[in-house]
Amino acid sequence: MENSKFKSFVKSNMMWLILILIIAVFAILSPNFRSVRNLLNILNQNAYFIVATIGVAMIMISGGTDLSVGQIIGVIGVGIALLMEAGVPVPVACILGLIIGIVFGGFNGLAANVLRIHPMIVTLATMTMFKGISFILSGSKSFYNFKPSYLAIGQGSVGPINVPIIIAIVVALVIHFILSKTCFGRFIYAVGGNPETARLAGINVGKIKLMTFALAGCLFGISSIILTSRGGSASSNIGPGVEFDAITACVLGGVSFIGGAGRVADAVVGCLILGVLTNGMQMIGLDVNSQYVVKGIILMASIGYDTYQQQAKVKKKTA
Amino acid sequence: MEQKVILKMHGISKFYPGVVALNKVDLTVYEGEVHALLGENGAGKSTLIKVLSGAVRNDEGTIELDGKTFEHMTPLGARECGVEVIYQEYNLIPGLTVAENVCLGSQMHGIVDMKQQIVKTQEIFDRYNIHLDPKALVGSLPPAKQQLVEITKAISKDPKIIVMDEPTAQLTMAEVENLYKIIAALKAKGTAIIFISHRMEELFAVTDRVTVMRDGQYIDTVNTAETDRDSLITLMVGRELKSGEPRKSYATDEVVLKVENVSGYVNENCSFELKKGEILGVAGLVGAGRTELMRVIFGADKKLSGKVSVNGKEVDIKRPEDAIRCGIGLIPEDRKMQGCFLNQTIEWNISMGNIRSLTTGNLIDNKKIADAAEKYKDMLNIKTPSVQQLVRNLSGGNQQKVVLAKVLLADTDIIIFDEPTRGIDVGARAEIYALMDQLAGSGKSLIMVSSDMEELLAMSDRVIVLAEGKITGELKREEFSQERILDMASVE
Repeated sequence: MENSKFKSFVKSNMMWLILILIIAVFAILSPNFRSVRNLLNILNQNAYFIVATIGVAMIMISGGTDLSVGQIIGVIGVGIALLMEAGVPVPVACILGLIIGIVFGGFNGLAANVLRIHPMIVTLATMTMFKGISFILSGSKSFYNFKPSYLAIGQGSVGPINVPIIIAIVVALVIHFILSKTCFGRFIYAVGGNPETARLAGINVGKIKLMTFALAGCLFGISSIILTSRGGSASSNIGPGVEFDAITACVLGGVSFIGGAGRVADAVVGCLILGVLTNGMQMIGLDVNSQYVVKGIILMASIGYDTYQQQAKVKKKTA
Repeated sequence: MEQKVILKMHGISKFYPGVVALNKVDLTVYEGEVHALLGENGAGKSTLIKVLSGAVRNDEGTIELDGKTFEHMTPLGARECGVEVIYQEYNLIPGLTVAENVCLGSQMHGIVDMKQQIVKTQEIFDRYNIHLDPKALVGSLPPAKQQLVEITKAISKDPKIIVMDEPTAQLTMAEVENLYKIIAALKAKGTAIIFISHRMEELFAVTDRVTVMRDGQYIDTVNTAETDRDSLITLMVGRELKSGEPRKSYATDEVVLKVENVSGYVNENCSFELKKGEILGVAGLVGAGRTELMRVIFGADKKLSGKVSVNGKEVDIKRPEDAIRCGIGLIPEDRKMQGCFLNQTIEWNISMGNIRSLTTGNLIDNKKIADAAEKYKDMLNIKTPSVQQLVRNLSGGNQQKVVLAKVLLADTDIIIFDEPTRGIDVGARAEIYALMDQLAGSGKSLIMVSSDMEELLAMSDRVIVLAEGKITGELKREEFSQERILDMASVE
């Protein structure tokens, strides 16, 4: 009994063990890597990415995908920069930024519901649409010279811990709470697991999807604020590209691509593995292009292993 | 006239765990004959056809086809011997043209010769007087035309036997006439046709002989010309009803659900009442619109017109959640696709029936969920080591109990059971019957849709019968008989 409990613990936390293994390997290979400063730096650099990925994870659990994340992050960054340029106070600009996220995310959800097409296709279209909106707003310009109070969000720290890390931790805890302790959270799993069963059980599937997309949009807003305030600049090109990394991190961490399963912790560990790999490979002096190859191999290996395990289970059952 | 035997299936048996699907069935078909296979839902017609086509492997018996004897048929072997089956679900590729579909599989190598395909297809069309454009995309055709493509595809293989499974289910009168003409032409050419249908008038219109099956058994083969509708129905139902103790009725006179002139995409002007403590049976053949009517009432499908009242008050049910709020629960027909979350635990599944009742201060209370799951596990005798077991890993009967538990948790006064015992073993069936009886006894009102005539008559206080989307009759318990129900369910 103890043995099987240990086994199931290992199984459900496999990716964390792999993360620890990767950290250990780099720590042995590179003295620079193993400093506390560097490890905090990895967290700080990836905080925005973790927040965005948690949003994507929620959407994936509800049975959808979001390819427009990067563009939404870009639009919000540009929007906040424009608002601040126009003299809107920083807190108000940030709140409006979150609202932009909720509206754009909600639009994705609404379109998927009304048109009854898979969110992947919907967001493929809105990705292009949002990109256009983003460039219209920014006029292809970059924005600098942010107010110190805005920069403090991304560049400040409490003791040795950077503010973005704290924000990411709070977001992770709040979303974990919503997914595991509220009815809304359960409904997200139900809708992703089997929409028809969920509907017949009296769940308003469309509403849950819409709310999930909107809440995820709010997270994309937070992510954008962290990203632009830490880097001190915003433009239509800051943000795009995140979508595929986020989906990669989710799948790597164990969030089901077909929906109905996954935890916040899965999304976080996926992000951390990608982040640690990038940082570690830089530290040991691997060039950027080789990094891509290694990342791709690790992704394929880990997902392949997961699928293999699933199949082995099925075979055992039928035998 | 001496006729040549083209197919002789002898002593065919097929056993599934706990079920005898076919029990020593014989079927003899002559060359150039239209042979009907008749029986109630679940009589074993489809299984027999699948044995013939090689899709299912028989456990006993032999198949003599065109002079050769086989222990088992394989899909390839069946095709080589000239057996073509046209299933109810068409096997066409919507993105290809008619000609490409017809010729699919006839050419395996080299460059596809489109012109030749079109010529070949047009030839068949001309011969059988089929009016269809070989270049049209199959996906753009209505079901009746798609069926013609299926038939053409079958004919193009030059088969000795064509099996048609409920070929007229989706056709209009004119299209049915057209089909009869094609059948006549095939027959003249010497092709044997096995024709599966529920519709009596069709059997008399096109078939030469009828083989009747019941409960996986061969009953009789008769010449169509020498029989009539009533004797066929008697053969189909056959057995005398087991005269056990009739179920005690708890029905009162209080009407809890009143359905008036409800129409949906399938149903037309359906009206009935359900009384408190009653079990109302809903009978009909497959495709009669029973499930659809229940789904319209429950708000799962769109109601086009009509009124539904619960406890005397008219209610506006647009979605399932409205129905549950009004006190109507549904145990859906397809437990895997509509009833369960297969990848979640038993506990999780049950809790989804009414998660809001399992919260403390609006937050999920895992203790309450565990308690509820344990309670229903014991009450319904769900056989599992733990409520943490994934529903995917349960047997059909236990999965169905989880679905029941989920619906019971919502504590609705009206519960619709759609095929509650389909595909589950005898023991679990008895437990579900006992549960239904107990629910009725405690003042709940139940509707039971079932294709199993015996259980329907044993459990129901009253039965309504549907055919082609309409309610065609109602029988009180003292009027129950399978013959009468089948009579009402068969469209003239």
